[in-house]
Amino acid sequence: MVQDFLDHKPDISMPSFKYEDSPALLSLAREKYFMMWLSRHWKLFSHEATFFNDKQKETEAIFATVFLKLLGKWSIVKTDHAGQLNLGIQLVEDMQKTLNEFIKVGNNSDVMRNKLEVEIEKNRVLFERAIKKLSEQEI
Amino acid sequence: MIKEYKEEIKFASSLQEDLRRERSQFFTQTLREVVQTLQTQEIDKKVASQWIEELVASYTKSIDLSSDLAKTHVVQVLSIFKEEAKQEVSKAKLDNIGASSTKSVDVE
Repeated sequence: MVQDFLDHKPDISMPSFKYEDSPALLSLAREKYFMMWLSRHWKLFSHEATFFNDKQKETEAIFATVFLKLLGKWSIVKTDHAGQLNLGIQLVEDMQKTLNEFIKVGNNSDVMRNKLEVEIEKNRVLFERAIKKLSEQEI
Repeated sequence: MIKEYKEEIKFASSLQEDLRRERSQFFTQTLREVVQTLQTQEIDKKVASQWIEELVASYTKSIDLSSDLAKTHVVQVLSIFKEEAKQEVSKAKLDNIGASSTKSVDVE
């Protein structure tokens, strides 16, 4: 996690600039990053576990408990029973997906607001043009 | 017994020492480096401080969990150690009783 900050990871720097003036979206982006960091714990462990021998594989249940305890610190799960590991993993993934969707909606609302602003300005100019044209005809 | 558990005791002690060192290094050095990195990237001060706040909170939760696990490990080692010590003492007492009763039979 610390290394991500030191390595200028785009997951941190990109939203920092993009949502500088949108505190709600920035907060979602931060949440998304930390959820990703949490889920990476299990991903890294299971990657390492593919090289484990039978004896080392016994550590899987221990790490599952530790991982669930970590999720518990974020109030994502309330159990550290290794049997609930899939539930924990699923919840973190769902939270990541939901945060992504929220951010997309936020981005779209920015696009919509921009379109609306352009539309208002365009209508104002078109109206002025029409008035000008009318007044010229009258003259 | 101490000889037998020497490695376990050493491991538990070095684990706690490592965690203390890591926590202290984070607050005295690493955090400063992160702040500087965010400044170098010209990230807005307010935005940067929000990231730092969350980083500190997440790091603290994570290292607290590691410390809890290390403590649990120490408690487990101690309870095994205590249990074995108790058994050793009872065994020694029984051996003593056995030895003294053999002595009194000899005297008689």
